[in-house]
Amino acid sequence: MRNGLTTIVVNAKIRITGNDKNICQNDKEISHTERTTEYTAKEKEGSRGMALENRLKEHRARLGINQADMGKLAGVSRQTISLIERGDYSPSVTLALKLARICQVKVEDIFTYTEDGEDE
Amino acid sequence: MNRGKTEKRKMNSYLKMILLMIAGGIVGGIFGFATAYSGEDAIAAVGHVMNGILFFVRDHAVLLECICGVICIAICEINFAKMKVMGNQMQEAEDEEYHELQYRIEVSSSWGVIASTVGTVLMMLIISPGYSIKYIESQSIGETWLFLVGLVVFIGVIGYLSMWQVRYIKLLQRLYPEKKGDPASMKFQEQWLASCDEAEREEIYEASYKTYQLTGKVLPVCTLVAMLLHMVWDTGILAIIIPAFLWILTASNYCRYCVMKKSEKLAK
Repeated sequence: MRNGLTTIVVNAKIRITGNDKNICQNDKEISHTERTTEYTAKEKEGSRGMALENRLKEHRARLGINQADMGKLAGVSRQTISLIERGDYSPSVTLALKLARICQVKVEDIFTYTEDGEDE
Repeated sequence: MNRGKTEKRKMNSYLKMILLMIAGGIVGGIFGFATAYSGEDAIAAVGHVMNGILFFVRDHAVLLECICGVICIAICEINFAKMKVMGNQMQEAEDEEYHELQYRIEVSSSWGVIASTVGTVLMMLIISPGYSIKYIESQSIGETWLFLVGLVVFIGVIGYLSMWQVRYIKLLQRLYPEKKGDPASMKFQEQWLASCDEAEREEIYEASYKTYQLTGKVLPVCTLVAMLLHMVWDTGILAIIIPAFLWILTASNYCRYCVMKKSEKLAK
């Protein structure tokens, strides 16, 4: 933690399930002034203590659309939107970017990648 | 330091493998010793029991087919009805309720699919002991007619279970309209997969890999068991060839697809 800001390295591992297909070419360092802890997807293996937090439900509510409509806009099923919101599924970079575009925000406003203890 | 650790791990793996082979040898030795010293009478007694079961299944094929068919059909229909009700509720459900209903639909559909698969396999196992020209020719006209009734029940139940699977797919397509694929088509699996999104595909891939892992364990055991049974009860070489062939097929097919995927990436 630095001055209340949390610095995270989005090593393009937005999808943290270990699929290297979705790893971006360029690493990016992004600072966030606020964090959300409502929906957290812990990496299944857990050994590296990585987590992906998201605020998709919040953004969807702001747009006033339901899960099914969001799914249609993003080209995925309602159940996938439900899984993402619950933190049970970490979307691919493409889907994360698509969702960000629908919500008209930056991808890091919806998804936040953290490592264990970073927010403590 | 890391190298030392790796070497230690390697040594442990080799040691573990040797211990496993020794354990296998001991189990095989005990089995061989027990077989040799239990005498031919004991071996023959077990053989008689197995034959007894086989004859019982063959002589009561129609009854067993009916029992098996009724149980499987009941499980399939109950779960189908549950899926229908929950599917209707799901259309109106809010976020959390939707998730819960979806899980319950998954459970019901799994029970239905398992029942229809087990039913199909059991029907084949029941009909198999009597499914022999030699046996049919040795039967009286009345017994041959009974066997034909068994065949009719067999075809009826298998036909029903196949239709149930088509109905099940159609129901899923009604619940999830984005799902595509003609259940009667040979390319149904590809069509279905193509209509799945990334989360659903990940689920399918994970389940498939788990299944591959399971077959990788079960097939060697089946081959070994078939070898042992052939040694003692002369069960036939075909019983060894089939699991051995499937073992080679699954392992080589897995490797083939790994190489294909890598070469596709290389070609880009």
